[in-house]
Amino acid sequence: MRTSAVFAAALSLVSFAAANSPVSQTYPPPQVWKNANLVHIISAEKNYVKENINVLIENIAKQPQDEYFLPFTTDQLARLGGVEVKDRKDAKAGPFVAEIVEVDPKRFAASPSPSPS
Amino acid sequence: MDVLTPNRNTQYLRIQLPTPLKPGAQQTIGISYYLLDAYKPLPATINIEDAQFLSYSFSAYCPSAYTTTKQKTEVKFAFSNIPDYTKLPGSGDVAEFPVKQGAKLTYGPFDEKTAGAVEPVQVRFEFNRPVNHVADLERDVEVSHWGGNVAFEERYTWIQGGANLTNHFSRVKYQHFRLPTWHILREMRFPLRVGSSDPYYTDVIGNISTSHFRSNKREALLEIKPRYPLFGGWKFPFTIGWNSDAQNFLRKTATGGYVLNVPFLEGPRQPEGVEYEHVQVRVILPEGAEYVSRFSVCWQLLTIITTGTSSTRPRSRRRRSSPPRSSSTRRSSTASGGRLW
Repeated sequence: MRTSAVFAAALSLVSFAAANSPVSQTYPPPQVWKNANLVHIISAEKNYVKENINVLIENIAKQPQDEYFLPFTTDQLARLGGVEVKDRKDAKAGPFVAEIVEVDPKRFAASPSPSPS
Repeated sequence: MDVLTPNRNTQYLRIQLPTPLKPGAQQTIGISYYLLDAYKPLPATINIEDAQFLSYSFSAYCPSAYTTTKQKTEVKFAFSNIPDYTKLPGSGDVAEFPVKQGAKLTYGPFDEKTAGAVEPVQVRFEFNRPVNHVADLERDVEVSHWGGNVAFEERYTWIQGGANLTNHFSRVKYQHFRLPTWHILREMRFPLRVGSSDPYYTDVIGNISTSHFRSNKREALLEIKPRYPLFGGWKFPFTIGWNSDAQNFLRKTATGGYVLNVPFLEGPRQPEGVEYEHVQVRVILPEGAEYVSRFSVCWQLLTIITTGTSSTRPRSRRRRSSPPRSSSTRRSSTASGGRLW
């Protein structure tokens, strides 16, 4: 039902204000994944935006991986809600845990800039 | 807008896969989320008879922390009138992106992009509907054991976030251009639970008479009209409330306890959608209620509220006997929505 979706958005939005986010251990995220194919669907049909990112991820590292990072700006985060992650092929694939990790500002000073584009 | 440049503006959503993926293995994941306050009216002010246009900015390349081999971005709208959108050079047999199909724009497919690659674009589209934004909703669910009643009250701070009026509101023009698909909020419809009764609809001035309550065996629909038609930038704080028999929501357990099962939120059903910025839900239990446990959503409880039999508090104020809005109350309830995802 459409209305319930919006509620979810609102609720999770609220949760960000209260969430005590852990500090990310890694910056920038290690390049262990490749997005083999990605479809980004932005739905601007209602007076809020719903975005879907359907992505085929491939592990290009030498070890098994279980953490995937998605970047947001702080401005977006303040308005973000209703985050849901699932396996597109297998509805029974166990729960995906999604949480915001805060990057320690001090790490920015120390971290090297990515190569200029 | 490079989201991966090391600055304080980048945060990450960490997604933990249920099972680690072996080297070389692939998995298709779907990530969905909502963004509130997403649009800017463009132009920011319009005349009363004009159509409303909103703009939305995003990146044609999906922001990612990883290299993306192949991707496309689709944007869907409610109406097919999309007068402006950023154009990008095409690739392959497509001369120019985006490709427009009815009420849909498609940027891409693009070839390989490095981690952090972005391409800022903006779209401007017709949205002749109100932009409903609830800045604040306080919802009280008060259980009265000796009245056998559950009383609901919702206090909305409702803001119409659409384009503002260029000139003053003109009653004559408003009556003249009475079009059905307008960006003015004229009505809200609350489908309440069957069995709801005694609805009221007030604001700071008092009772608002422009409402209609249809209640029968199948539905309990509360239709309300704001005290004034709501144009962009206008605010309308109002309160609605209703009662329901406690047996609709309370059941007794074998061990002598009670289980309360109420909707966390109800709210109006608007075809254009409603977004909520801050929601506070308070469940007020009868005095003496103990061992409150097993919430199906994560809660942090709660302030003990004394009601009812206190001789210093008039009976008629029962509904208002919720605690003062201390910061601790707000904190506890804001945490309540947590970890839903």
